[in-house]
Amino acid sequence: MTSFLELENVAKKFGGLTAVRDVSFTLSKGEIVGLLGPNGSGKTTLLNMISGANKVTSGKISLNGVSIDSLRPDQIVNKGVSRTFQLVRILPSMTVEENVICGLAFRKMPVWGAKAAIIAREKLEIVGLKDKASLPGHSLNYIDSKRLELARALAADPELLLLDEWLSGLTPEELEAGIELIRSIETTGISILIVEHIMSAIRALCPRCVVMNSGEIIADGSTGTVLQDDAVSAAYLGGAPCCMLTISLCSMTYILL
Amino acid sequence: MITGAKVSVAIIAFGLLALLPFFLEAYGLGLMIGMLSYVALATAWSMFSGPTHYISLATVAFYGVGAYTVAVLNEGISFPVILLIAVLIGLVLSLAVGVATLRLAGVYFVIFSFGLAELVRQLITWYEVNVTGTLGRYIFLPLEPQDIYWLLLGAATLTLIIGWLVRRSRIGLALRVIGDDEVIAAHIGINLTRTKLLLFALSASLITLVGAIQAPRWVYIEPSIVFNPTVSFLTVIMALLGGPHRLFGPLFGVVPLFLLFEWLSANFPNHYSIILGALFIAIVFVLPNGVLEFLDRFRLRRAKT
Ligand SMILES: Nc1ncnc2c1ncn2[C@@H]1O[C@H](COP(=O)(O)OP(=O)(O)OP(=O)(O)O)[C@@H](O)[C@H]1O
Ligand SMILES: [Mg+2]
Repeated sequence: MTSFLELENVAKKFGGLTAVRDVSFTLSKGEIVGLLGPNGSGKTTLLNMISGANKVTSGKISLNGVSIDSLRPDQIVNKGVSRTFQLVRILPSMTVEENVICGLAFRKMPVWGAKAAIIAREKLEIVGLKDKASLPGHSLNYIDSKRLELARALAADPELLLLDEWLSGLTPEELEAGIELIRSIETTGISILIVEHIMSAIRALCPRCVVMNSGEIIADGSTGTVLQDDAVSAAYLGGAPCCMLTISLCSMTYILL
Repeated sequence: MITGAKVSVAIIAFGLLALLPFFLEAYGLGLMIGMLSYVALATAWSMFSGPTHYISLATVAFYGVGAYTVAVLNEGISFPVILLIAVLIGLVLSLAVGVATLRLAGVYFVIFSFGLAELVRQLITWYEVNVTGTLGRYIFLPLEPQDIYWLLLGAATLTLIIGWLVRRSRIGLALRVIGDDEVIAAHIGINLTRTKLLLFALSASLITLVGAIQAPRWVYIEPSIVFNPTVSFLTVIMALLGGPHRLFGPLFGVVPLFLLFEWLSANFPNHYSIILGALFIAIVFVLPNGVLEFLDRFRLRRAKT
């Protein structure tokens, strides 16, 4: 397998805080890899650097052998990378279908007009939202918003899909269906980097996983082996109180907002 | 959706408006000239500021530049050529300003855009006083009020047509996405800076054109006359009242407010600014999305009950 996505000594500093330090790993074409780690370990920041939302402080990121670390997000989309967001983002003033059409209209090979509507319906069918195509974006519930976000990401026709906790917050049945959905996307040949806290989902989906702690990779290998690693359990257990605190803080902020 | 009926209505309305100068007295024509210029200004303003939510107070910077270009060039060159030069100057200026400011977040952009008009005015004043040694300029162009009226009618129509085309185009959709969520916009492949810059420049060029067409009305021009910040504020209020998210929204804001301001400035010249400010606040609080959207929602609520 040739390396498709390649990160070399990537680091990100926010002022004095080092969110990601010296991260190197590669992802092959068509591979699905889990990215794990306690809260604040730098997973989202890493995705942000790949998608161009954050610029790397140092290090290199390349896709298909071409450096992408100095590109803007819109240029990176055109290189074949699309993503979903940890805090779901939907275009609230547009309908569900228009949300997906937007994903089609500005990609590398843009589709526009009647043809876009047809493809948008196909994408909505894949994620199970076909019946809600004409609803306003802001009226969707949590799981449907996540589905829509995924449909929009797929509309960009990605070679690499970045999912940031796409499976979190689902009911057990929804989780089951979500895992199936991601698996079906993977079989179409799209490479997937999936950030997730839910171990069962990682076990079900990813033969390989990468674990981060305080901005560094502490394990990278086959999922079964990695999850038994002492350092990994220490990171998770050691991080537990902090993790609980973050979760409660997050949910409080969410409720307040 | 565009239907044959709507197009016919638009063409008939245009025809009637074009015939108006034959029936109006000087005062009425003056009113119509003012109104048409604000229709063009508010529509052009909304083209950029409506979808992006960037509240620009730079309207008068471009408007004034258009007028000043005419004042400087009015001898020896034919008016259409002067208009073209004015639009080009507005285009170049707006591209330069856009590159510098469109990265700014909302409130900083508002402040900068306001400062821009003042900056341009000071620069021109400085130049006139220190280099050319004159402050005021005279415009002698063989243009009757009805000529200016027709030119403005053309400019307003052009602005509406361009606005309509933009809405139907991919760049119009891009602007809507940017207005909804810039992070999504960037991550679906929209070049934020280029899109905003393009629309900002388009909008500013049209605004410059309006200023240039109106210039001959003044006969005597100096910076404090053509860079009057009230023009920027009125444009914003009118567009917001009507609703900057719709093509004809600004038009519906211009007509009542222009007449109201006309009446206020005649009857309460001293309290004019205060009333203007109060109205501004009232509109933003009561009708944040404009009259048309408010009426729609009202109709919807009635339909439900
Ligand atoms: N824009 C930012 N400015 C400053 N600090 C940031 C920014 N984004 C992230 N950080 C910090 O970087 C660190 C890593 O954050 P990141 O969001 O990448 O973690 P994460 O692994 O995704 O965590 P979680 O599981 O909670 O989503 C945290 O300490 C966070 O506070
Ligand atoms: Mg995260």
